[in-house]
Amino acid sequence: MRNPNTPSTQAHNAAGLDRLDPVLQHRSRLGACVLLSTVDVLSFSRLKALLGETDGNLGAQLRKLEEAGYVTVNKEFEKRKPVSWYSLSPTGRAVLKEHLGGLEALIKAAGM
Amino acid sequence: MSQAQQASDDLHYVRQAVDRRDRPRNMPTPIAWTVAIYVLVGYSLLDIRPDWAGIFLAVGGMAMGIVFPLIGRRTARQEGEFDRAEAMRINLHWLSILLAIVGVIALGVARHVDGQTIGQYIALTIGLIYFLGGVHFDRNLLWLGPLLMAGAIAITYVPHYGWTALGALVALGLVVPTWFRTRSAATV
Repeated sequence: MRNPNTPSTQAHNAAGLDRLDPVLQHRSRLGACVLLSTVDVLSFSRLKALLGETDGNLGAQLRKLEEAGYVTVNKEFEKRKPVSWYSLSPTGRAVLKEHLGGLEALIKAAGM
Repeated sequence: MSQAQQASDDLHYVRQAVDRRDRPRNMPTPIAWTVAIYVLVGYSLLDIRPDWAGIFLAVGGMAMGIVFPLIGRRTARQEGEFDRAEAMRINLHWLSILLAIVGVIALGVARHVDGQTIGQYIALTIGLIYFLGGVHFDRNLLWLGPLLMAGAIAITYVPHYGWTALGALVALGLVVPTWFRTRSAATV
């Protein structure tokens, strides 16, 4: 394992940290964005099932992503039930790519 | 916990969610049942009324080609996700059946091959397409495809009702797994 205190590792760590997006540092929000990057749209219930989150927590995290402009939501009715469809915005996609690059750099620097 | 360790844990969590999404999908139940009835009736007609079989299989096949993408789209939305690129990939895969049938018939007619042999070649090709469907989408087709291929060859040695027996086997192979499927509530 690489020594975390060497100047070179610290520089790599810093480089990785600079690329991390504060909104995506919550794992539910990161997970939602990664899942949304693989398809056009996912419903709230599908996201909940895939991420294993509660309604309340997921709703709060998705609202934060929506406020940041990373996801868009489209509310529809299917068989008289409200359905929220989420998709990743172009901004969200760009930020996610940068964030994942930062995570990769951080983990590499730590020698994990 | 260090930031690198936290990042690693978060990525593990995300990986688990992605793995859950990547599980192979089953053929939607309405599609499995419709194909089962189509194969059972169509293949039986090849033994009983061969003059009707061609029309039934052609018209039924085209109707399924139009209706199934709509059913697939509806099923995907019921499951709570839709992706145009994936839908296109699945539709193109099944479109290859039409291309294969047209190709085999054209070659068979050009070579003056009899109808029975052309039918066997078509069944053989569709079996291969089923198998590839099993590789990419529905694991049930992994064994159903080779079964159809083996049946297409075995018909040569079955004097009576070979097509009917093959149709019944394939129909069962399509329908039985849907009985065992735990019908998960629509996630929408």
